Amino acid sequence: MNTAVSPPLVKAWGLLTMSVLTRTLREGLVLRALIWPALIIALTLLISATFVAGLYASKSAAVPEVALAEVLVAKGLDARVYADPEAAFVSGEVDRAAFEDAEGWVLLARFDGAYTTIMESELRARLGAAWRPMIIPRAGRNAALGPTTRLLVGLLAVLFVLYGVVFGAGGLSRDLQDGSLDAERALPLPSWVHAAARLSAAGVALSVAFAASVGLIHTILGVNAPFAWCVVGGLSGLGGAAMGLGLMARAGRAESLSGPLSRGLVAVTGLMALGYSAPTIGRQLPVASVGALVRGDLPGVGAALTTLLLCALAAWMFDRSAR
Amino acid sequence: MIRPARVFAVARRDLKVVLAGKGSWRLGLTALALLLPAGALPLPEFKTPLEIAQAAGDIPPSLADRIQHNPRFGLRMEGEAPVLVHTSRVPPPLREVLDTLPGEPTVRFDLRATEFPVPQRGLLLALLSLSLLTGPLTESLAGERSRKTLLSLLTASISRGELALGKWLAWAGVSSVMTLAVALSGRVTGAMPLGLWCLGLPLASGMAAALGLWLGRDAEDEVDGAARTLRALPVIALGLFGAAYGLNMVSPGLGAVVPLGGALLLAGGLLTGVTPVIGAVLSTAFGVGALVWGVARALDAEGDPRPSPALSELSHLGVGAAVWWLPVAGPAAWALAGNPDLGQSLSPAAGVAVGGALFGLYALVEALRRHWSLAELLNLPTEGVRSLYFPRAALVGVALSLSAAATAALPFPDNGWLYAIRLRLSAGLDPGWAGWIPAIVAVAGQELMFRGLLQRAVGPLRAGLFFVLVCSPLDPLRGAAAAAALALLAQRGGVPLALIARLAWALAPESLSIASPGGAWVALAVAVGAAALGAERPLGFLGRR
Amino acid sequence: MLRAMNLVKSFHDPAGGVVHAVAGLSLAVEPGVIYGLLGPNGAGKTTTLRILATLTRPDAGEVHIGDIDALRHPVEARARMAYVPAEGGLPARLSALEAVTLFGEVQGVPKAKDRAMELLHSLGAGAYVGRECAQLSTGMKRRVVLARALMHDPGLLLLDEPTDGLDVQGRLDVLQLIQSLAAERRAVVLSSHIMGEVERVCQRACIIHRGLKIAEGSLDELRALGGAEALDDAFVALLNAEPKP
Repeated sequence: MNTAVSPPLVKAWGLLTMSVLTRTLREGLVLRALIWPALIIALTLLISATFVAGLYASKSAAVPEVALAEVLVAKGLDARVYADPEAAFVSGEVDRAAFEDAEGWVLLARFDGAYTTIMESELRARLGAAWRPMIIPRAGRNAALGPTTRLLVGLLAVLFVLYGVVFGAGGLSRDLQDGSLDAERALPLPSWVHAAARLSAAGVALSVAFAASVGLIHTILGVNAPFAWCVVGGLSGLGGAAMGLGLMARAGRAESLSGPLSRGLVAVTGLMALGYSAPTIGRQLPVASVGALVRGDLPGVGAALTTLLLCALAAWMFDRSAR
Repeated sequence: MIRPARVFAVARRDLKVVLAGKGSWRLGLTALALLLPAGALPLPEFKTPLEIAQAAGDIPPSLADRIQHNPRFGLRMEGEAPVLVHTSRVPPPLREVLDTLPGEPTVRFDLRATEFPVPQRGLLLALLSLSLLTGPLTESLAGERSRKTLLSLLTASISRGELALGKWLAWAGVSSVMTLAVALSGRVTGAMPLGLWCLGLPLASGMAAALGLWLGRDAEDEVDGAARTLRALPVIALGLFGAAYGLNMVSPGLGAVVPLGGALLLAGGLLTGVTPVIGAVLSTAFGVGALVWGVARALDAEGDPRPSPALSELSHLGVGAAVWWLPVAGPAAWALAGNPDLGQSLSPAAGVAVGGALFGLYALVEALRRHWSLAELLNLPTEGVRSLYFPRAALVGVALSLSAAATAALPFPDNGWLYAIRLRLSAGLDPGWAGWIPAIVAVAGQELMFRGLLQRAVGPLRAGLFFVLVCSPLDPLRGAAAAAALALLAQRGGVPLALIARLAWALAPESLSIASPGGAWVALAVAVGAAALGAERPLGFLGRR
Repeated sequence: MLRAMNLVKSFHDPAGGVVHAVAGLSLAVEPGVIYGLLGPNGAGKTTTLRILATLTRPDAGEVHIGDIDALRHPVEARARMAYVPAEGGLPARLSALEAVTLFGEVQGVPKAKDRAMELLHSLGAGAYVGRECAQLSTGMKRRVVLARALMHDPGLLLLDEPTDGLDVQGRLDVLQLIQSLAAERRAVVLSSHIMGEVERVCQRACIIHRGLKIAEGSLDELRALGGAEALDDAFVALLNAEPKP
């Protein structure tokens, strides 16, 4: 009897990870939760862009001089010479008009935005004004959008960290209830392998889904430092899962899911707040690095190390809970 | 026939069940935390960053005391004569300061933008009451279902309509009372005056309660119900408000006809006059009636087997379109939205790669959910692939690569929007222009999705049709020819054969392409013919494997 | 095959105080024997089985599986036994074949998928291999759980109330299967509070109450100790003879 030879731990870890991952992704609710946020953000952005397109798509401009019209046409505006540019504007024929009255030059615009700014800039340049606006030349990443994209992706990352806690605690709670944890623990493997498999499955699911979300938003809006976000999001999701797993393992059967879950959610929220208010410390910590990156501080190597430490702590708590 | 006594009895019972124990405390505290600050407390006055004169970069010394330096602000100043302000829009407070420079104002800027009326706080109150309803509504229907009490309720001498109406009445009533109480306390604190807008609160509550019940009408349990309501209710509410707001901009008062949207406009103080208010009442009544009827019909079917949770074919089409169009064609919207700079800064190569990767991920996850092995996802034939087909697949790919000029033969509307989108969506058939790495990712993802997952799941004909609709909607004939050739190849050797053809196609040098449209169509015919050659039943691919 | 000596396990009671779940229990089971672990609800049967399965560490005592000290070398000990929890412990979203194959692969069983198919067919679950465990009937789940337990061909089976929730036919099938497993020289420890099934399959049994072993022996010996002809009556008599707490 029993001719089986136990495979290397790494292979067992991989097999259990794949099994947990498969079970997780087959839960429709989990899958939709992973996909929904990025899709909503992308759709909202595009609907906004389309709405804005309806408002700002016009490039028409009326000017009194041929030379000015030529400069504006070269800059992409549909500028034409009118004897009375103001009348053309008032009648609705054009959406921008530049003309000179008794007090000086006037620029009328039905809406501001890039083309109106270009027109004002050229007009001011010709008149030798003391100041002029200029569209920022963007090379690759969009510096002006930095804070906006950081906040947007940061909110998404916060959501994934919270998912991490739910995955870690919820998955363990379900396995405790249906007995599958006991069945797995009776396998000839050290206890920490089961914790590691759960954490790596949560890490893979959250990292891939977060990277796909960041990729999607990056193609539509241009995210500042997308790779840093993928690293921070993945590590923080894993950190959240480790907290959820550790707290649930510590609570064991004595407590329902809601207790460890709420403690985990409070802990990650606190960590993220710490990262936002003290980014130099936060960039070296799991979960807190989300807050730090929202402020623009890239994650340090310490973030990866401390996340691994947190995972080790969770595995230890899991191991202890078996005794 | 609706008997009011029964309806009230159901409502009373529902309130008792959901608000029993800590339920009433939870609801009360959430209402207090959410609604009171929104409606009754005076708002602190704060300025948005655009309302303050601030800038990053080098602020001229003469303006240093009037412009706040903020290195994180997305507007940068530079130089002194002239001062350059790097931005796509100059905020009015900053313009005011800049116009005090010696010699200014050189140009008087007069923005005569369309006025967009800003809704008052009542809208916030109405929207927040939606989130308040999520929990109770979930408990009311989905919770009863998971506690197995719904079936016993259905066996009582009460009609489905009375049951649905009773449940609606309970929560529409609670929400209305709470929001109106907050509005009244807002009057006491001086935060909001009372007015006709208050009528919008019960209308919005009523419509939201009906919508919430309808969304959770066939939820399996509380978690499922809460997830549905949480996801969909705010999106639908904001969508209907947007539609109503837009209609109102076209013609004042017209927005009232949108169910829920009209009620939200009224709550936000954006409807004036008696007729629009009557319109909002009627549209709400119509909406509530339709939704409650829908809930009653769903209760009628309680206990019947529910449709399979597997994604329907149309869902595949929707997901496919979303994961490809959003990253690939989405950025075109910025260029058209008057922000060409942003549009240009977004790499189309990244869009193509992300679109392909999302196709691949979707196919992998869906295969996992269907318990498919990798061989099944790759659509590999059980009898193996004959080696003869590998060079033939490459030949089909090269023939397809010759066909680019075929597109020019088709008429295309002279429309800037469509043209810009067509340029980007051309990556569906010709991803090569995005660079070879994005092209390989895109091709691999598409083939896993269309020749792997979908060809196996819905058959080659429909998979091919979906491919045309998603990947070449603006170049359908060429897309159809390519889909036919690739489907035929996949019937013989699954995804690997189709992938060989796609790679040969994507990586073939552009110089190979035939310049004349006629010749390009011949090339397409050759591709389809080569793929079909030697088939025992050339039209056998029309059926499901 | 299995020897456990002086097992002690106590838990902290959330309401205060200490609960002695197992209080100095010893037992031994030889290959080919089905050993019944009997007791009322809360007697400590599951805790005892979990200690034997190395899932719970006792406060004191020893457990040997063959020549292995299970408390010192739990991983090696687990390789020789299989534990089937009362809940079954099948992951809802894996198919029956996936769930069984996984346990074989993790334990290094050669051609795990083929063996899983073979076991599922031999246990009468062949028609359900591709179905998700959540969709299986209680009886079918039991068959799958047993197939999973047998994947690595263990010498010792620890079964916690394996017929719980089964109908008459399902119960008879499972009991027959347990008998056939013992016939293959496996040691089986079966926890139950249903005397009928213990009488049907067990050669030896012990009755535990409040963590203490109050009687042990062959079924005839237990009947004699309880002074009754039916095991049910003997069980009740032995429990009633115990002093009230």
